[in-house]
Amino acid sequence: MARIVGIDLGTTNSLIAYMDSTEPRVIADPAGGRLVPSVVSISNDGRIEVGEAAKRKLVTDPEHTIYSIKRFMGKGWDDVRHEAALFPYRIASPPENRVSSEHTDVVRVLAGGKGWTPPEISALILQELKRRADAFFGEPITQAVITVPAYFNDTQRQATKDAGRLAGLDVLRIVNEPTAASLAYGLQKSKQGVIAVYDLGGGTFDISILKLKDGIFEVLATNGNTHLGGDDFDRRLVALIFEEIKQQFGVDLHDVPEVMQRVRIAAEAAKCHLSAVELAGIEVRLDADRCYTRTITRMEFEDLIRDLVETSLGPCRQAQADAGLQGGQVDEIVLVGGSTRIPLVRRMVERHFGRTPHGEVNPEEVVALGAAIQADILAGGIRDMLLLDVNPLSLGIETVGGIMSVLIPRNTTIPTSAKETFTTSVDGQSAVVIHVLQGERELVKDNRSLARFELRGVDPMPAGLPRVEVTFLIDANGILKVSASELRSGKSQSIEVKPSYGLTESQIEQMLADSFKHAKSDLEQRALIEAKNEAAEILHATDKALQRGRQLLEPHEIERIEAAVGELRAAMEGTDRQAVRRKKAQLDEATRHLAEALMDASLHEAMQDKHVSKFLPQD
Amino acid sequence: MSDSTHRGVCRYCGAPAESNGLCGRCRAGERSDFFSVMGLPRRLDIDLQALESIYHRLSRDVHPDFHYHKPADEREEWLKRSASVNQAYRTLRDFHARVAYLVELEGGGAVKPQAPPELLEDVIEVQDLLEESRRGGAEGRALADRLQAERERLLDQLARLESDLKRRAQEWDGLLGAETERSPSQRQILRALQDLLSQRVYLLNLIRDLEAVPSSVA
Repeated sequence: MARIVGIDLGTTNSLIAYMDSTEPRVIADPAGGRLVPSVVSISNDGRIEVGEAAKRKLVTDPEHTIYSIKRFMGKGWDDVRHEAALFPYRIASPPENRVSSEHTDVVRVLAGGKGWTPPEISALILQELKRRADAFFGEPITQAVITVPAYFNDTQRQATKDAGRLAGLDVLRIVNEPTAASLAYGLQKSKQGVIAVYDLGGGTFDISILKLKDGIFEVLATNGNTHLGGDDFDRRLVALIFEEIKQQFGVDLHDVPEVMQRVRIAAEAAKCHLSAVELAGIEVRLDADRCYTRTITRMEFEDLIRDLVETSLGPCRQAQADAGLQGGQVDEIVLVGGSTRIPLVRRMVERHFGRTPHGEVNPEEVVALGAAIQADILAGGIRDMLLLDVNPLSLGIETVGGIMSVLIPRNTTIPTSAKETFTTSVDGQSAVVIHVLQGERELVKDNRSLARFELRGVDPMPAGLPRVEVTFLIDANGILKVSASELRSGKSQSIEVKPSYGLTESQIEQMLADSFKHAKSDLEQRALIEAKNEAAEILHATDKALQRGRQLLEPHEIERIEAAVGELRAAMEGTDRQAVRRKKAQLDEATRHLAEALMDASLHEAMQDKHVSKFLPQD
Repeated sequence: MSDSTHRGVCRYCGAPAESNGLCGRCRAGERSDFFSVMGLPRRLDIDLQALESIYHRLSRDVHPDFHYHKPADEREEWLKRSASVNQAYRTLRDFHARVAYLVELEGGGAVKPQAPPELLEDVIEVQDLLEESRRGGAEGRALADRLQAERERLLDQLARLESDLKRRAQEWDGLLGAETERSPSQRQILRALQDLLSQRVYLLNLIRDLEAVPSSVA
């Protein structure tokens, strides 16, 4: 049986774990260290250090010491330009980044005389973890399961797989962090019931609600915020410190990388202290003569971050609603991620769910332990546990009128597939464009475009005759494949959806926030488009009916119909849905006699000709 | 695969099963309908506990995690089977999705919003209410009362629809035998189910419209 390890590749710290005969264990270094800080230092002469050694350089050599690289995974320059200034290391702007035409969009960190992509930096961290495991087992390991935030999109998942490959690891599976945590928790307890995993790490927040029964871990719903974590708490404290430095010493020092790093590290240390004690000291040396000091109480710190913690509750509510739970009730709360050590976070989670969070599992290790369990399942070891995960965001395609037609709603159990049949709108059309979208909004323009591809070579046929079947298939890693085939000719095309840099963090958040904020106006716009489509149908039917039945009507009836047609056309020019509906109803009314007359006529005709095959449009 | 093949032959088409336990002819599971995927008759009354047990058992058979070391084309096959089991469970566990699926499966076509004939007046009333609220009618109080009354009427109507659906579903189950040919009364029930579902969608839209009226007025 091949040995497969589980890896938690975190924003702040990373861990590697394996499955002992009965339980998962973290692999420590010879000194007993279990966490590898996700920090890489690359000196000008190209010397590379990773982990603790690199972490020590955060202060002494901030410009060459790279941390929180996970925030940049699967990102393009446009996605990170606003954030880039917050980091003391250098991120290449596009002119510096013209390495090859196909890679211009990928973020690159400049260090040691070259530009490094985020997967390359992450690979250095993974190699450090792999060295630990190789030494521990006395032979090289080659296969791994790596965890990602549940809210990671296709590109971010793909980037994580790339990092594994660069580190010499075959990544058998990408697993969502909160679900991995639930595996470790469930194995330990062999629990039944509904659990909520609240995962607040260094950079991201995930909430997942799962049902545990007979070894099956079924994710009911997941939600999150890819831009909320301990880093953001640190930034609040950092801002306060710089503000006070300015008041006390009359200088603004946040452009000085060394000072920036000292302040950041002091803030992070104070934050961690305040989880255990009520009062912490902060001391930052500014230069040879000056030193900033102050003490901070837990209450002061809590006031600084309270609104940030509160923003995590919105996704919780949405996940509870999506999970379809009676009264949103869960049986247990599992806390994951270092930031859940903060007492305020615990209190707010407890108040929100009405349950005391589970405190027995180590929140920093539980994800890696879960990854090790998933690795053992894939290796054919554990047979009685199975994880059934979901896709975090809805997937669909563009349809007439710029509406997104959802084929796979968010929180659908994966693997899954969906099929839908489309047709052409113009006679003789020989190609159909399939536009793949991801997001929660009604209209195409408000969602993220994942891919666009063309099904060519459709045999020329009258409009509406070709039948193009589009199939979406999402695998167990959450990675999407779209294929399309024309059913009459059997021509098919298939693409793996690999956008150059998928949804950005801020786009996902913005999209989610907007979907709630704009839910009403979205519905309104959609309803208007639908009303117009219906109106177009009845206009078409009226036109046909008039051609056939004009002689059956009195002149004033024809006049009335034509007037109603004119008014409906005018209403369709505007944006008043009620007006479109009203005018459509009027036209309905005006054509009633025409419809009846035609019906009579065709009945009459049918009886004469013994033809019953003739029928008219219903509208 | 124990659920589509039995004693070496496919349960659905009778062809000899392939060595991987899948039927090579009809690709049972991938192609067959959701009821067959779950090994259930086309009944509308489904015990959800039992359905979940079936789902869990099938998932343990077909999930790609348990077929990791097979050749790529076989893995692809298990991936599709797993996707079809997940879809079947998602569809069948919800009563309305189940009815809509049955209607379509039996050749009845898709469910489309359709106004219930007895609701014509209510439709006009809702339109009026929406219009008045948009114009910001002065008599806010009276409008709120009318909205409330209309909402209650629609919810009553919805409750009636739901019980009709339940009754028709029971009738369907009562007539369901082994034969695949449908009798005229069965076809009539399917049509009734389709109409009821279509009216339900329409009604839900109407209620949604009503609830979209600005809360300052309602």
